Amino acid sequence: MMTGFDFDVIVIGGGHAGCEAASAAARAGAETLLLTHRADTIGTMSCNPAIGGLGKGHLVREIDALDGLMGRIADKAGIQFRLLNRKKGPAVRGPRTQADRALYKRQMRMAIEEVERLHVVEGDAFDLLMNGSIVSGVETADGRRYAARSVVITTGTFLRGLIHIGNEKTPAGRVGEAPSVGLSERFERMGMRLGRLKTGTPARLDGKSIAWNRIGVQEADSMPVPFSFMTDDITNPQIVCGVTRTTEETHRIIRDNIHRSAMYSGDIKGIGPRYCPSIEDKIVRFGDRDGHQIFLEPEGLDDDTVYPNGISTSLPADIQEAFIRSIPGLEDVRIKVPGYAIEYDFVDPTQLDHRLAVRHVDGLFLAGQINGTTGYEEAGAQGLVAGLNAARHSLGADPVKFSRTDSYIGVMIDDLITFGVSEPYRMFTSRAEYRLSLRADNADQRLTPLAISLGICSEERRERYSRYESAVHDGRTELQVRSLTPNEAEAFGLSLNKDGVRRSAYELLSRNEFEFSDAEGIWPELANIDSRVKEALKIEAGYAVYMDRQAATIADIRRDEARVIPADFSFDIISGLSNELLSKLNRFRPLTIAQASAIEGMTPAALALILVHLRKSSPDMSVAKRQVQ
Amino acid sequence: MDLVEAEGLAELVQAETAAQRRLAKYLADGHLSRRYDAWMKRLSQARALIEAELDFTDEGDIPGSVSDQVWQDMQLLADEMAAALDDHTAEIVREGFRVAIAGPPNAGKSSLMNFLAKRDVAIVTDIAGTTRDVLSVDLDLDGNRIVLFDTAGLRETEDPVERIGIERARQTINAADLVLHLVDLGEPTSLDLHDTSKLDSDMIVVRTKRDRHHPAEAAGGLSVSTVTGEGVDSLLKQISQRASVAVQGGQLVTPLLIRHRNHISAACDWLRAAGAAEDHALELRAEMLRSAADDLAHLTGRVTPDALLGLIFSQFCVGK
Repeated sequence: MMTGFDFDVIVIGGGHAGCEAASAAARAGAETLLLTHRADTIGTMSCNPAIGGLGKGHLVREIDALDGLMGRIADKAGIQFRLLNRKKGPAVRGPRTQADRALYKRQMRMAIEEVERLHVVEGDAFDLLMNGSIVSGVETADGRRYAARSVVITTGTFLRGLIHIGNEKTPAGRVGEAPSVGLSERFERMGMRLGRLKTGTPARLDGKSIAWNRIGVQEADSMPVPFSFMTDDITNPQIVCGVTRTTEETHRIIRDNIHRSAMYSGDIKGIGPRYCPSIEDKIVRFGDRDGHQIFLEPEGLDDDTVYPNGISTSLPADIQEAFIRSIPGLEDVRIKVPGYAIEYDFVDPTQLDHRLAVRHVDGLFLAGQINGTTGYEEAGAQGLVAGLNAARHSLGADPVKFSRTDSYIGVMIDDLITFGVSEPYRMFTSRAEYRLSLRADNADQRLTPLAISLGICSEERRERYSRYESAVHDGRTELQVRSLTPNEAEAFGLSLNKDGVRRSAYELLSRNEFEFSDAEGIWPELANIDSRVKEALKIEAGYAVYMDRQAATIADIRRDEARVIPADFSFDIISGLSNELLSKLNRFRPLTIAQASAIEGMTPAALALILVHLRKSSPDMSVAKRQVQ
Repeated sequence: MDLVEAEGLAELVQAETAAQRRLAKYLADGHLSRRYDAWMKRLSQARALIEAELDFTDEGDIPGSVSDQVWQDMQLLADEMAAALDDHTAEIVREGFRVAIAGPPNAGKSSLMNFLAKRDVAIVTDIAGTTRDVLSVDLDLDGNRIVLFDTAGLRETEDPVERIGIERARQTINAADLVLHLVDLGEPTSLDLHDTSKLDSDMIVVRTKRDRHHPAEAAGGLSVSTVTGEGVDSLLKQISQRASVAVQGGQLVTPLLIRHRNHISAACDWLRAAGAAEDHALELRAEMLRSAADDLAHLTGRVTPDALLGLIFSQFCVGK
């Protein structure tokens, strides 16, 4: 490819979205340029030093299943692995680890350098090169021009970034790094809708000045569960975190000075989330609580810096010090860097399609916080999708769409491009309608076959996965061919309905209280199955009945996803739609019936009306017929 | 206007009796929609609490277990849905108060039917067992819709066709809101209605062929003549009173369209299943609540995951 171009794909930004985008594009066969302000900031964790969590852990597992970077790097940099919701069912378990910030960055940099066809260049991307509405490359602030058929922009909070500490305002993308101004203006000239969001971060503390002996601790799991399918063991030493709480005095100091917080003084125009990331929000909205929990998370094995998770703030530095010192264990704490709020431009993501490409600009892809999301995991997952599709756009291959029915990645992208964002978008398991099917434990089975067929999967993973897949298949067969009667079961201390029906080992495993070890007690030869496979089969068997139930709904959604609503389709001509629904349809402009059906307040009758009109207005009846079947 | 209100309007167009018009107006004014919305709101609140427990366990600020109150309220909600499905008031108003004319062969059932219908709807002969199918006519009594069913005479028979007719008669009697038990004044045989589920309170004994007998024989109790019309007004008055009592005291705000009943019944089943699944993992029970909400959403419109998150964020301090 690349005739007349310097690169197939240019990725602007070296954060979590940028790294995944560049890696995915290069793995998909594109000569890729990663353009970043400073190469030494690649892989920087600008907020909390942790990867994963509930919902977010699912995203990391999916990135990994598609042979992305985040899971492998987190495994190499993780210093406190915990599987959240361990006591609940597998569908809502979320792997999480705290990461050594320096180690993460170093490992990410190394991983990026190892990728074939990927070139890292420093530069401030100032403007897009355009050929009408077709992207043709990027121009840097110092006048260098790079030509490419696809450009992925992952500039995070850098678009007109403005940092607030009390009433001090500093234009910046991150502390000490200049914001990006040119691209916002380019977006405005293109007629794209921009919005403004805010996010925040807490002060960084000097760990040597914390009275660790006077606060609670949170331990890592004794058996760390890695993110990546490719990781066998976690080798980093595991640390403990401190746990403390705000006090009445903390609340009083914050309340007395609330007018000095950038978020409450009226200085910040950007919209914050409905959840409470800042301590000001927590006190204003839930001040009657006796205290709010704070986790003191060491930022690294050889780093004294501590990240106090739970007290992000935009109060002036002196007030920050005062309220932090009112917290048990932090009475004599030294603040290394004060916390701050940052406001930044984002692009209304309803202007994107499922590839994360801008609908009316050919070759322009956006990923990460620029689309109104928050979190490394959300950014990384978008980067992978945008980078992959940018490469396929440049190389003339079909787009790759992720669906709500196959992945959290699909849920997130569909949410973003259907509804847009009214606050920084964060992943939760409750966003996934097919939560029981979309589990962290089966991410590989769901997505690695796709990665293999797209050619973005390494040979090593492909081999390992195919071994695993056949082991699961063989294990399943072993379980299905072994069976016993209720009377035989009784001999093993197992009480079943005396209905004379033989039950297979697989069926027995679907019972809550029946563990794999119980199966081995009956059929000792099953002990030979690999432990990872055993676990997968136990979970699979337990959910089997629910999977069957969801399969029908999933088939419905897939059919609706294939029913395309043309971009120029007029909802106004449909009589019988309520004004409320009509205005929502016009605002969200759904691209498919599946997207339309996800709109709040949507009814089957209204969908039927839309389908009828789609059939009427389609010039090609055969297409329409297929759509309404 | 939402779909449920529009359905009410469609009812209004078809309304024939005063009570039907009142009912349809009730629906079109949104009373039923509001009831469904209130159910959905309760269900959403329960789901929000469960989802909070699933999605924010690492936050420390979500109370350890909110489930108990949830499951209790969901069972109450299921009870309320079941009660609404069992309350047939709206159905009686819409479909009519069902009156079955029953009795032994040749008691004058079809004659009474024809007289009340003021036209010949049933074939009347003197040969026992003439009426084999169930015939019905609609009456409007004081604004209430009454559906009158003529049935085959109940007796032992070898005729296979008549036996089918008798079986259908029994079904009609069982489904009726009121049974007119016809007895020939001259042949006071007692009719065996014990193999039907009817109580005496669901029944009016009507003695027939009053014109063929001495007035003294007809004294005490209700007797009618379809030749002279004597006693018929008194009978109609009793039927009308029974119908009025049947629709009073009951609730009009009950699901009466099959579409509504199916979804509510399914939602109710999901709630019961979720309540019973105590030994299941929480996300499985959450899935059952989601299924209940999906069914109810056919009547109220969809509640998005984001709306549930809004409920969580308004009640709990979460987010780091």
